[in-house]
Amino acid sequence: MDSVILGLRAQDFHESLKNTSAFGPKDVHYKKTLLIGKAAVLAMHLRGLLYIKDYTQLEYAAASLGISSLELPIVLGELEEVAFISIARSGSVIRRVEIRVPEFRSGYKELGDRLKDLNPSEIEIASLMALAKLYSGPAEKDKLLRSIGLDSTQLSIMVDVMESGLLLATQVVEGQPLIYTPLAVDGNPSIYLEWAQKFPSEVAVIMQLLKEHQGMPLSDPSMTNRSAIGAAIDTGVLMPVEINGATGVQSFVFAPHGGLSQEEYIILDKARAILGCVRYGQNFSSGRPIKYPKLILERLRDRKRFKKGHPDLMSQYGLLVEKFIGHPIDVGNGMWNFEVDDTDENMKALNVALEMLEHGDAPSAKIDIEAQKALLNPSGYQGPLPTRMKLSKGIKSSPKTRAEIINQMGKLMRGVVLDD
Amino acid sequence: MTRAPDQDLSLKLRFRKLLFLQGYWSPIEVELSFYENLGTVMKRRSLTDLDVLGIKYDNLLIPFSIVGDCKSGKNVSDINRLFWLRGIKDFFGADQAYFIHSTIRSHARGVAPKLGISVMDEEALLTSEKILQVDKSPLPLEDEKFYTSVVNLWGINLVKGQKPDEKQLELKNVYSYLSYSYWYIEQHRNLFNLIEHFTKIATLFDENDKRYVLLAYTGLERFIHSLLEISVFVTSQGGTNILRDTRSYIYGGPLSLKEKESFFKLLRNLTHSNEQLDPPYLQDIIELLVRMIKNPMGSSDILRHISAIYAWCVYLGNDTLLPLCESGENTAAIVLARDAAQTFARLTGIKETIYSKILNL
Repeated sequence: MDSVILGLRAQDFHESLKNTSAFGPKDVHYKKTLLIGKAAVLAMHLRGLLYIKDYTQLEYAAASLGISSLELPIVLGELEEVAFISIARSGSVIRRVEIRVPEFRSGYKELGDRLKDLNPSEIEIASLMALAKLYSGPAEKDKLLRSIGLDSTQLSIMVDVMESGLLLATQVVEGQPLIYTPLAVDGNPSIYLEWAQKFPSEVAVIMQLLKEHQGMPLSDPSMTNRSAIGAAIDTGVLMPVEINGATGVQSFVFAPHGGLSQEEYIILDKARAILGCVRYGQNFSSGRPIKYPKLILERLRDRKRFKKGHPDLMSQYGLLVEKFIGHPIDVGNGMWNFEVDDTDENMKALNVALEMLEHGDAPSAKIDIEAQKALLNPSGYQGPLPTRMKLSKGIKSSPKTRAEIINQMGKLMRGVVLDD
Repeated sequence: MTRAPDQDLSLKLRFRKLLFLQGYWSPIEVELSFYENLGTVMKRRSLTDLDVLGIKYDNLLIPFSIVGDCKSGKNVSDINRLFWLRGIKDFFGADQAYFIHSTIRSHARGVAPKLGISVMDEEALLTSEKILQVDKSPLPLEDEKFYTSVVNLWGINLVKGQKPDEKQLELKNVYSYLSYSYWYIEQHRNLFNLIEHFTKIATLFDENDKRYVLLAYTGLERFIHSLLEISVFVTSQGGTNILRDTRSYIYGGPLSLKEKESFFKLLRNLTHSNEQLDPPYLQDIIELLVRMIKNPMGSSDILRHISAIYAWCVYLGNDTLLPLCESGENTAAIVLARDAAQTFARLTGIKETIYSKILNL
């Protein structure tokens, strides 16, 4: 399994399970995946900082990301292992955490490689592979579970844990139980599953295509000759972004992305609008097309506006005005510039757009602005406010999983040493 | 570093300390050479040497440099030295030049401004030392004993008539590169050259041998200096495309980069290999550069920190570093110094424990 995918999916596990209650099978069988997932989410929040002197400040920020102060040293140890941080110590006291999270590459490869080095359990590997597969579309439940190669107890554990974190869901469509991941569904799962049932051979190809090229123009030959695309748009499985620019109206399609809160979905919506506008300039500009879309997005994030005006900018970026991302500036002679409003939400949306452009995923949509603020604030934390109260969700276990818990507890009581 | 102490040494060291206290990293006795192509070999011809060189970067990563000529003897023609110094100033593209002589004759004072040179006699030097409170700085930069011990640790020091062995020859190449070629070749070539030179001798380094510790610190200083020069270029281009501008700089400009890329394309076609222009470690360098460019308050002062750590911690054996400026410790500079030390060690294969004094800060 590709290391980048492994790192990204490990982060999904942590993000999805962080608000679930303590549960033996989750904590025993997924500890390495969750550890790397926690490391990934912390690294994402630390990126761009040079050092943190106040360890308590870091503990507060980490807590709001689902990393307890007891877990933090172990998570930092993993980040040190992949050289994303360096810790200055005086004996056992941490004086400073120095941050070296890469900025020119995503860093998920190193984290995925590290997870491989940790020798994850069979259940972890199977779960990560299943999740990665389900990102490409739903599957027949029995067929998928049979192909995984776990025994029935292990399968129960996997399904229970993944279902509790909404990493996995099952729905019967036309009498057939289908398994899918809500993380790959934008809207109503029933419609998504019906669509997938109708176009079984095309779904995986389309999802892969959209992941590899987020913001694909609908008029692209790879899209136009697929009947499944039209059906997906008609039913709301895919929700294209429409841009009315200098050369006419064009639509851009994105891979569905679920598992987000309302606030996070707003960020994703903005990111898609931003990337749609840039794709327009790349493919349908009236003048010279955009050659380096990444640089355009970085420029908007870092400098908040384009280097120089262009007559197309007013119409091409109109959608971003509607979404309160920025406003046009008349620079004279029929030329327009566009200025991004410097808000946390807009900056986060630009980072998400950059990630979607680079590796198709949008892990930054999950960036906790409060946690990041706690880290960026040089005067330290403001109190326990950043650690927002979250209700932990109980995990519903199946009879088989319960039997396994009782079995393991029995062994413990009899003095049998538990193997990893 | 390669020459024995001379009668002007005291003045050079005092001027170096003055520069240091004003934020300059200041190598002394920089040798200027010329390399002549003699067919199969390149022969080095010594041109002249510069007493004190001061290099500083401000918080916007704009560079400033000063050249200083120090003379203590009576039989010195001030006018000759001033014209010579003007040439040196132009050669280095320095912003300022200082002529330091115990006494300065009046006609020299009259000519100096026309040549863009500042003059400093003993009295002016003492006044400057008082203003900058040189006596309150405990760093032994003006201490001749410290200087002499460093000089004695530099080079392979063969007895006359003794032939160097293979290991000594390899080391000699590196000493020669640091002493002469580094200041002669185009600055953009230095980063890769430095890494290659140190990679070749990486296995020889011994953290318990003071000679190797000095060599490792000198290598690190030059590594940081090369990175700062890249940062200056990248920042001057707007600082938004660090990868493109770094490649453009280290390969000698956009045209030269294009030529090199074409050469490698041809090489791949001819040899069916996958040889790439960029060395695999370039990605690590870019990441470090990003941190330096984004934290100019720290990166602009790393060089001085390395010099201070060598003098205060390595030479004098202290475990903590005194703040180099009145506003207190520059943590960002220390963090970036540790970062650079670990990166340089990783890229060259030198054991990072040789930088233990930096890594313990």
